[in-house]
Amino acid sequence: MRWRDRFAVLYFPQGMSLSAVSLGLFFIHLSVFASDLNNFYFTHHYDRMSFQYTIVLIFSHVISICWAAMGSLFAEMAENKNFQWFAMISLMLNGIMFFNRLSLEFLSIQYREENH
Amino acid sequence: MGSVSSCLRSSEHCQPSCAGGSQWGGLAGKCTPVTEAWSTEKPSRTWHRPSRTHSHCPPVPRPPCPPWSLSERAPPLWPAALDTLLSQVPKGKVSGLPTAFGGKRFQLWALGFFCTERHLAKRLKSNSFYPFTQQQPGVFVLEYYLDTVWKGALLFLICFTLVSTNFLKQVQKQQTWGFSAYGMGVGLWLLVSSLPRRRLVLNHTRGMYHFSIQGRTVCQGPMHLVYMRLALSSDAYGRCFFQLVLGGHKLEPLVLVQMSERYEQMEYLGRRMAQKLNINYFDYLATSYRHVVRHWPLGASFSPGIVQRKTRIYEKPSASELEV
Repeated sequence: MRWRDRFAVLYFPQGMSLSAVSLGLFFIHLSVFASDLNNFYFTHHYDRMSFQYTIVLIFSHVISICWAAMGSLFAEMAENKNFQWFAMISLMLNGIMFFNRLSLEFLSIQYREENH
Repeated sequence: MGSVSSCLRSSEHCQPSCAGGSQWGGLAGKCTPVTEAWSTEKPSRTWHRPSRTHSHCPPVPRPPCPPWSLSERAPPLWPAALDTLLSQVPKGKVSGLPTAFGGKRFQLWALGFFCTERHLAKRLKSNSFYPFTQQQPGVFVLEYYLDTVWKGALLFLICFTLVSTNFLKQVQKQQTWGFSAYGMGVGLWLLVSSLPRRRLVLNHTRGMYHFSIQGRTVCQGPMHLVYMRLALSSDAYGRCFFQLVLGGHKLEPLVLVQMSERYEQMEYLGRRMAQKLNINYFDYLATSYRHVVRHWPLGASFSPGIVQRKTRIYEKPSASELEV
């Protein structure tokens, strides 16, 4: 019966898996963002930043926000307080992460224009 | 006007549409001529506005599409012919053997193009309780897999070939294999989440329905929470398309016919299926004469939420009344 319990995530309330996946993506984005900040401000190894993955990264941010929003909608319908808070936190964190990413990209564009 | 099912059926059956311009008068049991219902003007005072406003379809009982019986596409005697055809067939098979379910789990995987009402009528000809099978008199069982199994598998395979052949690996110095990786992840998730088999049991002997996924009970409740309904979507030009959906509280909605323009045929099929399965049938409007309610919420006649109005208008039970 144990291997069936590993599929317990499939029987979560509808939308919980969406919020959970978007939260997982948030942590991935957070680690990439932290590494980029480190390379931009502290070690100044600009060639180790994630410029080659910018398109996929922005796409991933947008998809994560969409999934978090869908999970939040399901949470509102389910009327479960804990689930609502979880989905709302996931959505807000993803939104904040998106704007952080956007600011860093603008900074790096400014840097690459070499207007020192 | 083409002939449709006559008004001579007893009130115990579902209310059929009446010939000519008359309207089935609910429990009154006879056809009363309502001529203004066929026009596109403002409806008479006995009609309520639908809660969901469709600006293309004014609130009349029939959508303002050209009469189907007058068009060349729909044969005018279609519901009557289908009635005689379906009554000639033997009743739905009674099968207690588990092997009988073998090939039928994928019967709801109809591709959109083939998912017409004629296809459903053919299926109903061989099995009157389609998509259910009758285990005992009064007990209907449906086992199915969601169609996201093949969609997820297809997406996974396509993205896997893209990743393995390095087709979209790099586009102008940007690494784009991440899109294929995303597709693989989403496809795999869709596949894995749809692999458990779903099982819906309608048990009239106990008055309950039971929905489980691979043996785990998801929901169990009274029979008034399962229904057959007609859903409406319209395009920008005002053409109305109908879907026949089997749904319920905490059930996955099953679309039986997708995107059909023939309202009468869809309504006939929906009513017949609801009659065979003995569940409620709802029209696409929230307030309509055409609902057939066989099971009321428990204690409905004493609940202050449902008021029997003198004009005999039955409303679709609101969400608060559907709480078990």
